[in-house]
Amino acid sequence: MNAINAGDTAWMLASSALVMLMTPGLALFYGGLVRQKNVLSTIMHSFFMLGLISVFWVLIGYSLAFGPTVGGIIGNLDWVGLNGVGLEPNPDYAATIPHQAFMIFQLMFAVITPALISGAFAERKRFKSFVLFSLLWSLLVYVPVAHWVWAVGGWIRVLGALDFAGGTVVHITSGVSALVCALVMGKRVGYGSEPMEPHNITMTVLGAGILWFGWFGFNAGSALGANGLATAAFVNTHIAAAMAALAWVTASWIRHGRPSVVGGAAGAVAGLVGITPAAGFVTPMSALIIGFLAGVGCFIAVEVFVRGRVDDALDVFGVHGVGGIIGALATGIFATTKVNPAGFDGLLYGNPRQLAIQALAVVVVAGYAATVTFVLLKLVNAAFGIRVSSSEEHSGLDVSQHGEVAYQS
Amino acid sequence: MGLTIVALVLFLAMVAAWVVLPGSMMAVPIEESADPMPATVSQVA
Repeated sequence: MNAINAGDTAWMLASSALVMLMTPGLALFYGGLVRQKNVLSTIMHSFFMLGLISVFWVLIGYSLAFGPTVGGIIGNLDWVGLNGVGLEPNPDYAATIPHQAFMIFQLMFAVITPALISGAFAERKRFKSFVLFSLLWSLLVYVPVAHWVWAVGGWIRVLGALDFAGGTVVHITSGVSALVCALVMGKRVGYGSEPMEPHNITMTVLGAGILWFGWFGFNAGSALGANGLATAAFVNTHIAAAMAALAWVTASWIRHGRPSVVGGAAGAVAGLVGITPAAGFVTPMSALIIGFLAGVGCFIAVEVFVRGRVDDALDVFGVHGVGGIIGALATGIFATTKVNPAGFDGLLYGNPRQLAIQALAVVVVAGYAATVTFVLLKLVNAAFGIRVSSSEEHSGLDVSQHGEVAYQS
Repeated sequence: MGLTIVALVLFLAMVAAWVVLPGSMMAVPIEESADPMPATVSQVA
């Protein structure tokens, strides 16, 4: 029997709480970016996931994602209802903490991932359709991909792809799915012809700050112990976010002639996304360069390639999709076993094969997420209609979907 | 050392950009940008 380590357990419970806080942080980040008439519905898209996906996860999601593998594709049903997931460690995943601590940490990841997508269809998605879509998406996209990449026996893990904290599992799946959502749902009424400015940038910056804070649990917690690796991930997380914030602000300053505050917040998030798969595999200087690449790369993706063409309302693909892809590929370049002997060297350390494996994982996961998301949207649309009516959209989703308003005049 | 030099160059390039980029969107003289609101409650009354 493995012994429980008090320090590791304390750190993992604290990390779980940090990651939990990211979802309300995301709610504020997104909520500030939409128009006043849609702020509550946007916040609800994140907050509701804390309830929905938590219940889904303990009932069946965790078993399918991390249970004993069925051919490397999906977990079996041994752990349904947390049957067999007790307070003894599971050495396959984390030998020094209670199995339930690992489970609750992973639950927080499952919660925030579908919430990330909601930024793409903000201000126009019917709430009941959102609920059904999110549940099915978690079951059919998040759970299998988490199994492929992280579970013992998962086929992408066996292949040797590296994803320390979810660059592929969380950000590429949600970012690519967000792009598909935006394309399938179409643009908001008035997009391109009337202003759709953020209604509360202070809220957005506060949300970004909470996300940054919570991300220490997301990445450093993925070390699954209170140790040197957690410290490396913590340091890398912070400096990548810092560098990306500087890079995005500089890029926006050059392009628009002003150092955008929203850009600073978005840049920090881009850096956090970019370093996520690499956090426990790279040196601090590599993290700094990854932060720069994520900040500039995501800015270019948002400003040059996406905005104006696709109404990805809150730039989910540009930040999470592109940032996740940059991070996954950068892991294949900058990873070194000097930081993490359990990983692999990347291109820069004499192993070009790692970059090819990372690229393969990106292509497969992005293709799978896009395909399933497309089918789900069509199914949900056939069942309920995924989009509110134009009159409801004019009134705002706060009133039309929830019967409430955010601010009393 | 190579990565440190690359990171340093990137950082210094951004600092150099901040120096030469425009510092204000409005470029309004200080006296014109003064707050037009009354300074005290008595002025309102």
